[in-house]
Amino acid sequence: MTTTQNDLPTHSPDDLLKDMEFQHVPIVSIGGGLGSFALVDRLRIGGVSADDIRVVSLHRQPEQAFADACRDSGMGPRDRLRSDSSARIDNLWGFPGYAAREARETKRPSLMLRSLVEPVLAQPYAPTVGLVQHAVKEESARIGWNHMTVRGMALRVQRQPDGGYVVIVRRRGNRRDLALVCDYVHLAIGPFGPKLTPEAVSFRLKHPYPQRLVHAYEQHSEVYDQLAEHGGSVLVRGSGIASSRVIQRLLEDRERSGQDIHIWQLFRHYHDQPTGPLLGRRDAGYGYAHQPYDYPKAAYGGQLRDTMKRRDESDRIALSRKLGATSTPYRTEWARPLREARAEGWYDALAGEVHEFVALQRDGKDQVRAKIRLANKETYQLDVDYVIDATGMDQQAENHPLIHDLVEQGIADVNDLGCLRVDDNFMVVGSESHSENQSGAIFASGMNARGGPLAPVDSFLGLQSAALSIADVLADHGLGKRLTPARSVRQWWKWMGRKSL
Amino acid sequence: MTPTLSGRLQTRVALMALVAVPLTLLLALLPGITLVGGLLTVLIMSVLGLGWELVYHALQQLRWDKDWPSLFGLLSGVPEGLGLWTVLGAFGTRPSAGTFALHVGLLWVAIWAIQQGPLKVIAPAWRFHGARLLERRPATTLLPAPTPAAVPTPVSAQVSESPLEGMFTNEREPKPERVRKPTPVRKSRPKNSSRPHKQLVFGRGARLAAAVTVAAVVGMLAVTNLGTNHRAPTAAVDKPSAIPSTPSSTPTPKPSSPPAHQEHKPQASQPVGWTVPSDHKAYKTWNKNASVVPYALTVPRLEMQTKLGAVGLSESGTLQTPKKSTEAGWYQQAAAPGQAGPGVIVGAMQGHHAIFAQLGELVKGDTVLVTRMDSTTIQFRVKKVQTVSVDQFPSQAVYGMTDDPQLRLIGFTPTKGKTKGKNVIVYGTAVQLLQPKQQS
Repeated sequence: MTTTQNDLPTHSPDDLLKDMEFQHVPIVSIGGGLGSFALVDRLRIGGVSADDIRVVSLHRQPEQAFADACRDSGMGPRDRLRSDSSARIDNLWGFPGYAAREARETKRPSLMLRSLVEPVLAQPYAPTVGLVQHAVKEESARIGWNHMTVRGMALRVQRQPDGGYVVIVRRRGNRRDLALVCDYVHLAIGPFGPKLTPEAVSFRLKHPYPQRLVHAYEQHSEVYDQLAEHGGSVLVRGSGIASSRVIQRLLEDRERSGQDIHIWQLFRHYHDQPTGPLLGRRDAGYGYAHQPYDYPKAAYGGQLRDTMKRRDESDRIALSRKLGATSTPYRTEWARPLREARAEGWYDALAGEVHEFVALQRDGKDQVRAKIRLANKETYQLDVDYVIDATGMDQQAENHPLIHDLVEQGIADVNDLGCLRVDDNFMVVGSESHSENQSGAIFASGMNARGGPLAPVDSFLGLQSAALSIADVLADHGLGKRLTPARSVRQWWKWMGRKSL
Repeated sequence: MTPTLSGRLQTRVALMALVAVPLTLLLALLPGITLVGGLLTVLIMSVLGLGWELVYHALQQLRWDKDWPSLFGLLSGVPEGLGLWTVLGAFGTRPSAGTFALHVGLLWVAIWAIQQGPLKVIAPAWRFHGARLLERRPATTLLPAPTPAAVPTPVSAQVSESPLEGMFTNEREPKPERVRKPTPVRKSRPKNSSRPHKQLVFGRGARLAAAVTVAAVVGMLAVTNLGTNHRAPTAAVDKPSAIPSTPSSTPTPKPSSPPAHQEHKPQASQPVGWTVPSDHKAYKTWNKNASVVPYALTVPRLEMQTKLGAVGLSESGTLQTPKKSTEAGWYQQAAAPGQAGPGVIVGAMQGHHAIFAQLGELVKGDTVLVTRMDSTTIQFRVKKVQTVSVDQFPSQAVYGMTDDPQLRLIGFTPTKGKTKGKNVIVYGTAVQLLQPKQQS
């Protein structure tokens, strides 16, 4: 697999230490996205001072990476996510939820009612991208995020002989590297980029400027612009949350521009009708398996989560495959146009797998030929103007230099999904270090901890759940306080009053 | 937030005890609901509810995503209410239909509403733990190991290890293969700390509160049985919540003694020493007729320094209070501090960072300094500290004209409902004037 890798310094560690600034802090969180934000928020609420936390981040704000991913997949600030109202990343307690905030801002109390009767009587409420971004911005100002952030890239995490770790950071705008000497390290680096399947990679190797084959998590707005201007045909690959978003965008563009855009969608598994017994059936239609939220709610903190925790690793991975990746709720705002599109004949669904992409010229136009192996073992050739690949994000540990280095050092281990192997407290297995007076460990949350005790780790609620577990372990070892009911209520009151911490 | 079976049962028991019982006690103040009858209804409702939870759990198994929408939780009150009505009929303790609907309906909606929000605030982990309030948590392996620290171990040997095994060690029978193939990582884990321990979401304080509630219920039942039927509940409801355990024979503190602030109490007996800073010169005499506007107030004992605002009289003829509880104000229609007559400074004793919260800790002999606009400072010595109720305010002693410059610090707490506001009044008399030395 050829992805661009950031070069690690080739000097020996001794060279590296020569000109370096040292800082001692109890905990360092590497990533600086929403995963780091969730943990830091919980720790600050638990009474850890901002001086005791460092966040190594490329971005200034915690919501930046999230905002970029939304923008790249074509979502504007008013577009709705797929998550739940109480999955509130900027509010540890999930109360009041995003629905209440939006109801207050837009003066529509009906939204709150809707979030109470969902998903039975109403379609589930989902917050908009802009709402989440603003809320995270406010909360990060409240907890003093800027004070804790070190802007730069973590080059290496190294175990100290007497327990604890050193994180070496190449800072932005500073020639001296920074060595953060710490007890605990938290990894929440997130996905390392779009996941490129081997056939997409081989296409890109042949055609280094692949405007014709883009990934849904790459910046690809020019594809929509071109389609809106000239029309054309497009193949959307995948049936998850990203592809539903892409399809919605295409439908809107088609209606707005009036151009003839023909949409092909390729499903790996085509869900035609509801599955399961009458009472326990799962709603499905037009190829999508629906669920009310982006993931079955019981997997966040219900029976499915208990089942997940109880199983061992291979069973966990099997179960999370069965539940599927994050998928999409049934929404009339785009299900109806999809139905009309099928009737009018400019939307076609295919079930199968691509085994090759070939570039070709037709009438002076660049096109992509997708060779698809259909479900009935036949090969089908499809010529389209654009291919939008919505097959997910890359999470393979060996594709990230920092995590790869951790594995090489023998500190961390990789599970069958290619992510870090973590225990039930999201501690990276093998990273705990004991000594007389110091304890150290590495924790991982978010997509880096997939295959662990929680199936939807990379969702808002999953990040918060992991943050609570990690902070409890840290509180056991004297970093921060436990969230007792009294502290929790007091801190919630401060949150409500927007009192800065 | 979708419940598990154990979570359902725990939440049900906790909310019946901590919400339904107190609510019933309150409702018993209304005519129609008797205390004993109400509590009996709650008891039967709890017992039946545990059975209902089993039914709901069975129904939940039929849903593919094992979800239990909150609307279901609200609507399941209907069958539960009907069932309870039937059972109460069988016991022969059925109240009138209206009373029953009001009581049980209110309880149900309150319990449901609390689960939609407030409970998440009290126990943040509740929604992540399948609605369990008590969560079994695996022991952390971070504790210092009895054996010396392990060298970074090659971790390839433990692929098939279940990270969860430690969690159920005392529930399941030990697996033989664990003994056969000890992995390097496992070796470094302390054996004694692999026992799971229960994490109490409700800590000691909450358990204490629960105990107090139970004690209050018992006490109330006793009071109702002893007292007359009409007014007993009123008295009983106020009593346990206000002073749950103090015996009633405790003498009330004398008005003149300062309110108890425990952290400062030990040093409250003698005045705090204060000396003139070296860059100031002290004068025993000054122009006591000039009215110089005060600028700042310093109380060395409280380590407090604040700028002074100005207040006047309100329309009702009483002293205005400063707009914020963090501000102190000088009553500008009386004397200025340092002028002959009483200079009055008023501030709040209650509220967020109230400026005079600890005013009552001042004792006779303490120093209070008022800096004036002309950069001179008047040093006052505290003569008397007095705590009075609002309606016994000694207007003459406070505002009455005096020959020498005096100071009055007035702290107030507002009147709220039945509790009367009170004032702490600090009387001070001017000692000397301090002037910064001229710096050449």
